[in-house]
Amino acid sequence: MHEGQGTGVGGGGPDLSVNLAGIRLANPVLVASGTFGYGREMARWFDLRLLGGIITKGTTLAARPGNPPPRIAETPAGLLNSIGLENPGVDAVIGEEIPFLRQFGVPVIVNIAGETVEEYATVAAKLEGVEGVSGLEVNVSCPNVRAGGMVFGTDPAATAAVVKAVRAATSLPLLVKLTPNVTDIVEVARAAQEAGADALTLVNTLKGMAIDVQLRRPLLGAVTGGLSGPAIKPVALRMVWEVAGAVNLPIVGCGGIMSGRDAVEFLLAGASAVAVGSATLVNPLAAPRVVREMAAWLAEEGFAGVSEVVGMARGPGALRPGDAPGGGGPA
Amino acid sequence: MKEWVEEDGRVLTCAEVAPGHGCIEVLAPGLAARALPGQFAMARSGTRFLARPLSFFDIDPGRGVVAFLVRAAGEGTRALLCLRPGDGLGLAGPFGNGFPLVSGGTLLLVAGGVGVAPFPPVVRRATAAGTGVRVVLGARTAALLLATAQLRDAGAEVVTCTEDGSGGVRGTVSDALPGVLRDLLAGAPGGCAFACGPPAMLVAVARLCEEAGVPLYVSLEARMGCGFGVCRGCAVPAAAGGYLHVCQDGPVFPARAADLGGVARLWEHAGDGDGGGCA
Ligand SMILES: Cc1cc2nc3c(=O)[nH]c(=O)nc-3n(C[C@H](O)[C@H](O)[C@H](O)COP(=O)(O)OP(=O)(O)OC[C@H]3O[C@@H](n4cnc5c(N)ncnc54)[C@H](O)[C@@H]3O)c2cc1C
Ligand SMILES: Cc1cc2nc3c(=O)[nH]c(=O)nc-3n(C[C@H](O)[C@H](O)[C@H](O)COP(=O)(O)O)c2cc1C
Ligand code: FES
Repeated sequence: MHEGQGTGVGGGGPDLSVNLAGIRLANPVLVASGTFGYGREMARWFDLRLLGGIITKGTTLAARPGNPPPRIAETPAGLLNSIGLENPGVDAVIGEEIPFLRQFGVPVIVNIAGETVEEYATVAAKLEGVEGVSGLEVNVSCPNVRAGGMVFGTDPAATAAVVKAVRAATSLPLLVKLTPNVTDIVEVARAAQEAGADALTLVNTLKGMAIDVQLRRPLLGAVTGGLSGPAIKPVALRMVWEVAGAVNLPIVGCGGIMSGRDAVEFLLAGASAVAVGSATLVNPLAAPRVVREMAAWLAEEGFAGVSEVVGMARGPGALRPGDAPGGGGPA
Repeated sequence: MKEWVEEDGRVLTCAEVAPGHGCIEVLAPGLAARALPGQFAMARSGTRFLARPLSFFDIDPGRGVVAFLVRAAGEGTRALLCLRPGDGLGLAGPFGNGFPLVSGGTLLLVAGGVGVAPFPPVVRRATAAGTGVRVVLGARTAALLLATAQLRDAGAEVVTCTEDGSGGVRGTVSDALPGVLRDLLAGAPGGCAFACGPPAMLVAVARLCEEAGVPLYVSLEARMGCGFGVCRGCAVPAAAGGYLHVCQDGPVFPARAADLGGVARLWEHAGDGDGGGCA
């Protein structure tokens, strides 16, 4: 089944809308977890309605103060962060942040994390039925927390256990965000699919570090951090490509997207939507610019809609969007 | 009026003001109209991935101009000092809370090195409100005493200290401070102090102000991702445990709110940078 019905921006232009596992996005550009807070600050920069959707900061059961500083290190084409899932806890997010965000009418996907399988399920259950929450993104890929996080995402069985538990706790569409810090991402993607994921987000940050040569010690307070930005784009793109050819779920491509052209690359590789992360830290207006540039590209190239482009680079003979099973496009 | 703007500034002048330090004047009417003393902008240097936080050294809404006093601390700031008149400079801001408004009495400003950067606008605002301002300015050597002319022009009384004795009092600001504080308290009780500079200096200043019973606000540094509150990257240790966020809760904090010793440990290696500016 082809998805992507709806009206794009303005009459006559390409149809930008996307149906992501039942979540209707006006355009395929989301903002990545942890680079947009809960939208409050960003609403001072631009009309959030310009976005396809908003993925919130990683949210846990209890409030988390985050990791010791320094938490940020610059790299030649990106940054390392070791924020450590600082967040006010799910109850505060439901009480204060979601009510603010829902006024924009843009789909809000809450990124959730936990130290145990039960914690993920509890957080998911609390978000069930909360007005203004369109879906959950299960973060089994945070490299910056000692317990939970990436520990789950590097093991297909543990990933499946988390996804199953969350699946049982909620009827919301479930995105599962995978870590690139594995030998074979397809194996983990398959486990997530079998456990009930509705979509996959590829990828979270790559584990890395920086050393302060003056002090002769690791620069980040948490020693290691997650690498993001243009530096990881080729890795993220390769993983989207691999997973799109093997798993029959829509994919949100993420990693180093700075421009509309970068976004289009992910679509061509088989992603149905994209998420802009670090680019927002560099320039707060990056995400709406990606939407504009992508729409302009589609129009110039004469595409009627986003869905036409999804997976196109997979070439003749490769599975095309809509071919099931194993198609690169929307499920 | 939207509080924050993203602005393509145009460099008017970029000149060396001391070894490894330059002053960059930028035509940026949006920022000039909005910035308050003690706030900062994020400057995109083109060559680096992340933007760099810089305090407003001058805010001139009339001319639509802001200025930055920049120390060549590393590659990003060095690239900024290589800008030429007419070059573009991507800016965003103004961010942060700025220094509180003090009216009446005497305001004491304590600065170390390029930490003086946010103070000229503070002096101008205070003197306009009828507040007397005294500045204690420290540097390693006389050539690195920055912005003395701007501070005096703005109406402040300036005491300088150099570690090598080449200008003003020999020693650090903490050597000069007890005397200044005594004077200040004898003249007008109920004064207030603001400090900006190396965290180790802030620790010493906080101790002296605490002993003298003078309330102190400090402007803190942190490595930043965004500069406007979304990434949570700019945490520094709070006195009460947990963290403060420099870009959003600060950069100005009551000295008691921060664990200044903890902040100093984060920056203990930060020396004089590698100099070699371009301007
Ligand atoms: C609120 C605030 C206001 C500031 N105002 C001024 C000012 O007016 N004039 C001035 O010269 N400097 C100021 N600084 C410090 C200035 O931002 C840093 O010196 C600069 O970011 C260093 O960048 P670099 O590329 O030269 O150094 P590099 O060492 O190459 O930078 C590498 C990374 O470390 C970060 N970093 C390194 N040193 C610092 C530091 N001291 N503070 C924050 N981040 C740092 C950089 O932003 C970058 O992400 C301010 C800092 C803050 C937080
Ligand atoms: C400062 C920062 C904080 C992040 N926090 C989270 C988080 O809370 N949950 C999560 O799943 N991913 C988090 N991420 C990862 C991003 O959502 C994204 O997957 C990653 O940065 C790659 O995309 P990019 O290269 O476009 O930034 C964070 C990234 C950054 C830079
Ligand atoms: S620098 Fe991003 S939250 Fe302060």
